[in-house]
Amino acid sequence: MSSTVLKMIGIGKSFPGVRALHNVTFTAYAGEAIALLGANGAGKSTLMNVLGGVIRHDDGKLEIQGKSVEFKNPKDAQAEGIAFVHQEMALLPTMTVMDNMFIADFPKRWGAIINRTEMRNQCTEVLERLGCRISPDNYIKNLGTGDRQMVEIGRALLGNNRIFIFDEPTSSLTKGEKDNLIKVIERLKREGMAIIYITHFLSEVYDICDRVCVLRGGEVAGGGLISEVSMNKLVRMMVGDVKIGDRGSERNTAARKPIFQVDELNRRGVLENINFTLNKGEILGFWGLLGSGRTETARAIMGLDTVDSLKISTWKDDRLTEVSTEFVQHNIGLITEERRVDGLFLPMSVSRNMSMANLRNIRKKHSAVIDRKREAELSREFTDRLNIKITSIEQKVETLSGGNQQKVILGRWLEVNPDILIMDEPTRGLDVSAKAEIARIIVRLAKEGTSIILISSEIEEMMSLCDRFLVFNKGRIISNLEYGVSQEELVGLAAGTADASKRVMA
Amino acid sequence: MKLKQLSIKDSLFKYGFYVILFGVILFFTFSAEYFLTFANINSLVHAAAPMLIIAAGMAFVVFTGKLDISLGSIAYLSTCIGAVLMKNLGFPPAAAFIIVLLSGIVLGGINGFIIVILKVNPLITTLGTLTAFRGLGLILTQSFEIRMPEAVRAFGTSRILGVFSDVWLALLLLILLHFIHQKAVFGKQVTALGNGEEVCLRLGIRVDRTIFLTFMLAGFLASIGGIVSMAQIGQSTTFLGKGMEFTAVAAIVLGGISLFGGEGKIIPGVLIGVLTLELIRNGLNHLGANPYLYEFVNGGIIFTAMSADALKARLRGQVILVSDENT
Ligand SMILES: Nc1ncnc2c1ncn2[C@@H]1O[C@H](COP(=O)(O)OP(=O)(O)OP(=O)(O)O)[C@@H](O)[C@H]1O
Ligand SMILES: [Mg+2]
Repeated sequence: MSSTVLKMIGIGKSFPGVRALHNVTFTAYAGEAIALLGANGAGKSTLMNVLGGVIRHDDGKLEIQGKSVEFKNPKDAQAEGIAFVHQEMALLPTMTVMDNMFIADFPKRWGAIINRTEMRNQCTEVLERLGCRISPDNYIKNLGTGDRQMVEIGRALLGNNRIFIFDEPTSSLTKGEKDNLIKVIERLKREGMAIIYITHFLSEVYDICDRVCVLRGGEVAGGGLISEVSMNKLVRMMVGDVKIGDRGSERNTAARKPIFQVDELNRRGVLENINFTLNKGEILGFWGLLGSGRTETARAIMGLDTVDSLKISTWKDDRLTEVSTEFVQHNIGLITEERRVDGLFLPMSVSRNMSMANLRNIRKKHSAVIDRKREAELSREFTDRLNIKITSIEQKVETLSGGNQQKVILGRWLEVNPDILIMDEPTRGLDVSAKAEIARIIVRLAKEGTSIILISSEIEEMMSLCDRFLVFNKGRIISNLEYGVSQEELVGLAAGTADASKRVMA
Repeated sequence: MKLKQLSIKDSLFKYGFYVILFGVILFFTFSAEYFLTFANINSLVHAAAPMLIIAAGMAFVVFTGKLDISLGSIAYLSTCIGAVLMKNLGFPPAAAFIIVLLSGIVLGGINGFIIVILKVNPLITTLGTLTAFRGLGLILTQSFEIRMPEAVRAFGTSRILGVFSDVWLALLLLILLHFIHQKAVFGKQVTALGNGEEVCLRLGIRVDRTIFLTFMLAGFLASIGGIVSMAQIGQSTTFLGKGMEFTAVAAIVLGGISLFGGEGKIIPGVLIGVLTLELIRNGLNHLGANPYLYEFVNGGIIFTAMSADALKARLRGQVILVSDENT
């Protein structure tokens, strides 16, 4: 039944200093989902940007339903029925959900006036289809990351599209939202649409996709029907041989020595009476659903949000002493989940971005001048260690692939080497080998005595790394569990189905 | 999903501008004798009419996250063209004014061209045309004042239902522009631009075209403001429109329209901003205060409003969703 909808033939694209794509041939069929896989920087987003009209390719040609096409801009691509869910969300924060969905193509009356009734109906219908309960009149700036992603997906479902590009759509969705998305994709497939699905979660590929195409270093490394490729083979196609960074059952068993303590953290409507202690060399996991207060707690500790009450103490002179926000900001590293908003200086170089938190330590002796040679040395060391794919350390961060941007933030804090490190979704958007590398680094840091608070939505990652878990639910800590707890119990507690009362902290 | 907001701070920002307006009115009502009379309010709004129109044009530019500081000069140059046509070539006022309006559009288009095609920063562009346009006007009129024909002078002081005609005109335009901003595709695209041009490009919005149109619209409105102002004074003077662009920016910020782009409304924003400034000027006059005091007070207000704007942008990230549902 499957007829060819899209053919990209011999696509090549070079950026100054990198060949992002070389002779890539890619085919998508009606009624099927094809997974586009590859390590960070393999060229997935670039290939899709070509298809979406965002960038022009150097070589090769595009055919849609047998007809040769050329896209000068995203509008041309939209006109051919290509819907694009971007990896870095393309949203307008000061506008409503409804406006965001229709901005490229409003339903109109008299040529120029927006038909709001029509718009509202279509919008409500799409949100319902996605099982998303936000109102069309909500402003994007008031929505969390997961809901924003749903809006982005909703936009793709409008209109008469026949090719759907999803570039890492699930990276900030909750389990329920993911399931809904899968249902929507199933339905699109039944309607004869072609789906292109980019992800780093290989299990999703087996749930959703019929075919797979793997890119490696900008070239096609393999592909075929998903039923004929094993997961191991996929991984090997993507990155060669990797050792997944599991800690096994080895855990930090040394006597616990508190190094950091939070007391009475309250923020009306968001956080309620958060108290906890972090021990030296410990990996403490914050577990919970999206919006349960994990990220908010991290932000509050770093002084990024105003709170109603908070007391922070660290270990100094043999006892826990209360410290100021300023002290915290200088001595605790934060790796954020919203890399584009909170973390990176996009138009600046990799090297400058990495040294940003470490400027105090790379000054020339007895002066305020930054030692550029030292800066470069350190940047080179950490780009190597993290295997960041760049042409030079002077490359601008905005031109890196999504996953490589995330690594730059990690590198920044590894350079500083603080005693306490908070990592909020440090591996979001990273490929398998990078994830393993990060896991190894986390374990090594902890061994060397760094205390780490880890926030991650990937249960396997949490299970394999953490010494202890704090479970968050609706802005409160409902449980404090040691390593050894079962995966089911953690999931149940977060969802509020398991009985937490026995384990509530004093 | 429950939406919890920082309610006190939020409402302070939302209604702070009304509080200022109300405070100003209250203050002058009690300290200046004839302040709150119909005659005074009528003449006050009359005096504000040109600024209402020009500030509305500025607001559209600001919605896109840019500034156009050449608007006062556009008002001047376009009306100079009209005045010269009437005086030297004997054009009837109606024909001359049509050409004034066209000039406004063209001058705004020149700004648009430099910004969109030559990719020059908008502030630099309009800083250049601010001087250049005024210079052209001075050459054109040889810096003489040109008296308006009687018909035009009559319009400047005519009333409908007791209220000055130009006030009606200004209000009508404001309502129309508010409608365009809120309900028309163009208005939404302008707001979208204020959220970032790169995102807009990805979304398939015709960014260049929209910027171009916005500057033309601002130029067009500046020329209307110029005509109204010229009719009020009864002649084309060399200081027509001078400094208006800065007052317009001040009024806009005061009206809660964010200079970062993408936020704010024509009504009540522009209305409140312009009227508050005019009230202060008028009130200080009534108190017999030193005219330069107004400049000082004005500066203070701009500064306060700007800090509030910046603070609001900082607090933006702090509204948080609390999820109730299980997944
Ligand atoms: N505008 C640009 N200028 C220079 N190099 C670029 C630009 N855009 C992308 N690149 C480079 O092209 C390569 C491919 O990037 P791309 O974003 O397609 O990777 P990706 O497969 O999507 O990775 P990820 O999984 O991390 O999102 C990277 O090395 C990246 O640095
Ligand atoms: Mg990508």
